[in-house]
Amino acid sequence: MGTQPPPENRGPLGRYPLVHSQQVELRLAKPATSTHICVLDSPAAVTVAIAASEVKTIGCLFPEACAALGPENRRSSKSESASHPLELSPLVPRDNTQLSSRTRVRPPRDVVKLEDRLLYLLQPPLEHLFAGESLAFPFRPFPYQFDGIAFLYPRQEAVLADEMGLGKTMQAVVAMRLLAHQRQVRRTLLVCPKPLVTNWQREIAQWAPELTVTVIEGKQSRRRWLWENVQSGVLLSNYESLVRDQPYAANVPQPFDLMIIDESQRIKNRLSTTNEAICSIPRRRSWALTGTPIENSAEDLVGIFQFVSPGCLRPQMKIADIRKSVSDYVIRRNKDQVDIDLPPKMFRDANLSLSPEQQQAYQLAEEEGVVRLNEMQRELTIQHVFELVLRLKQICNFDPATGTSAKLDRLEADLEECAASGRKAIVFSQWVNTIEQLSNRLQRFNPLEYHGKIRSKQRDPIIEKFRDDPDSHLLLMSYGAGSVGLNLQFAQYVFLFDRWWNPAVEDQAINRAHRIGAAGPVTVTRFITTATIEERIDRVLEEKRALFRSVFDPDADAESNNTLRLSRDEIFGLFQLNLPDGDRLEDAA
Amino acid sequence: MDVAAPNSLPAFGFLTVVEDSQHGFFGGYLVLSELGRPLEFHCSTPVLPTKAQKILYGSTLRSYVLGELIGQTLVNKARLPVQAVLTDLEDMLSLGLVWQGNLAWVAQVEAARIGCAPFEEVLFDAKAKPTKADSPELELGKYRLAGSSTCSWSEEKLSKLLAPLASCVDLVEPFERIHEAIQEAQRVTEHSAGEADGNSAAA
Repeated sequence: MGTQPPPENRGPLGRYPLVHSQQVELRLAKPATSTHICVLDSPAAVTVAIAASEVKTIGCLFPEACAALGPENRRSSKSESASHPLELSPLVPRDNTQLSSRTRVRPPRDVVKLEDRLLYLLQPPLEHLFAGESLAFPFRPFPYQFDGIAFLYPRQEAVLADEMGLGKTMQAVVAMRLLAHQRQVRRTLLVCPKPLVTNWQREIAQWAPELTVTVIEGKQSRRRWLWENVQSGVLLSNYESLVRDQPYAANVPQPFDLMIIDESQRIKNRLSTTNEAICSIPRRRSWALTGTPIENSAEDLVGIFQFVSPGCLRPQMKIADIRKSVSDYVIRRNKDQVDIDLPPKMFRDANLSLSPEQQQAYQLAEEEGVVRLNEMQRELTIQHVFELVLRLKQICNFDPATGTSAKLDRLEADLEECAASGRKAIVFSQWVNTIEQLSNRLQRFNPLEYHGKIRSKQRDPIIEKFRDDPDSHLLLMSYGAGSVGLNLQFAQYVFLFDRWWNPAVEDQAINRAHRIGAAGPVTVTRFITTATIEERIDRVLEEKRALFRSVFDPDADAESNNTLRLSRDEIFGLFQLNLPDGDRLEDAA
Repeated sequence: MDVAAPNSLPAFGFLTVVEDSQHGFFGGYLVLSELGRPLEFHCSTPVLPTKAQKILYGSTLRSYVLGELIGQTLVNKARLPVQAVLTDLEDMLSLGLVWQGNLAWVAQVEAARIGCAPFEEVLFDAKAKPTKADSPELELGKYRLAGSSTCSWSEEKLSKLLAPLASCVDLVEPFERIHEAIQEAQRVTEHSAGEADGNSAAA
């Protein structure tokens, strides 16, 4: 061995620091024999070269460092093409010992360059941002919400499909805020159903108060001016308005940095005008929010993805292929999966017999209707069948001649109990005239009405009165007006006076009450009149729930087909009619 | 790689390796700002000691590979000067033999006290490893830092340098980021190599 220092001079690691020399000379003596004396004066020697292992590296300098080092270094940065997710305003956690959980931003699959992927992976956990004093948030999100924000943040194309009531709005607002602070997003277009505009304004004011919100409303000339001239902040529009404004929105001078569509099931029909208008708007990021990405069939998802990531899905794809294709774009959690202390949701099916008057009217209508349908032969279309279905459903609510109603009798009894205990209830119906009939008959409960006939400006005060007035126990809502976006977690009872064709819409309605902030258990009562069309519809709804699970439940059978939608055969089967050539149910629904 | 100049961007290095039984040691070096944001990152290709190295370095092989080979290469590769380099591996302290900056091995006190961190076993359990009891050490909030006699070590200076960082950043958390980044780099590199092989085979 080479020369070594005495032990007292060796370092604490047990060897002298210069031991890393690369050549070692070994002196070997000739082998001794038994009878000869060994001569050691000129021993043979071999030299063993210890080549130092070559360490190759890869690396990158991120934008913030480039800026600090000066322009010459900026040019040489490998990650120059990356965006600037490091330019957050100073964030100083008050106490990092509180940051027990860590949510990391993970790059989506479509970020290909290693430098760009590392830029996302090496960001501090989101919890550190929320602990910052300069980026205040009203309260700490749940861990699953951090996951949702971390999912949206790096993605150009994303669908946040959490179950209703888990805070999709807040997650989207916070992700948008982070991007805005990082100067990745300067101008956002947010499109939502008209009744939810004020809700979005409120959520943005709460979670991103520094972002300017411009609601695109008013006269055409004003809307046009806003489309053409607002260059920063959040532009807030509704679907109906956007369709009218498409010529302006589609020709904005610069693409929107981010476009968010809320309740994106509104564009499920890929051939609709709304879908066309939404998809025509130039944008860099496309996020869709929906609690019900599939309402009728897997084709609904194709329509949404026409906006999110055109070409990702095609019509008639198999469920297994859809699941595979959307896996990196969609995040979906339900209330059972997330770790939140949400009160239970209890279902009870109220199976009621029709009143004698209703029974008589129902039998007559069904017999006459079926006879008439059969007589139509080849002229029979799905629309004719639907008309009969709707007629029968209305009779299940009220007898048209006398106004008697088995459901109303039951509802009154339940509401007595509800009001006596000081609790609040929401009753959903498909029809405005049913709501009006209920309102007349339930006056002692001070009912409030919320449906399509109520003007937009009157709607928010109605919700506020229902929430704040202790004498206001009952809110009568139509599925169309009240099933999406509203926060009614102060109601403990939900009644589905009649059933909607679509389980997703029913779930939306129920989850107005059963959501974060719910003070206690939510009891959902579904009225079903026995031996009527409502029982048959209930079976169909269960089948649709099975379709939804087959796409989004990771434990579901991926090979299941997508034919669970309500087919033409099934709707005609409700009355055991002969099958003419005709439209599919979806076309008529 | 130099020690930070007085007016340079306040930055701190985090140095670790990921050990893989098949490929060897992957090194990772992350430079963070005082607020914990990434400024620069370097990682190494895997280093697998040769048989000759194993024989000749013996029990000091690991500290040689980690500190002198991987650590030195990565720290020298970085362009940003740093105020100090922190590592979560004791063997990385041998970097102090060949690099003259502030270097410390960091662990959480809580983790050490419940006995799940090697730091406790090695540094603070005098019966287990009495020879390490002489290492310089420093307690900074919920963290304990240790050096070796070969490291540049000034308790006062280190406290002053690291206190602002420790108030903003969990000093152990960045090593998780490095681990993930190394795995990502490995995955991407292997994927690219696989594609290249596929293309050449097709050609």
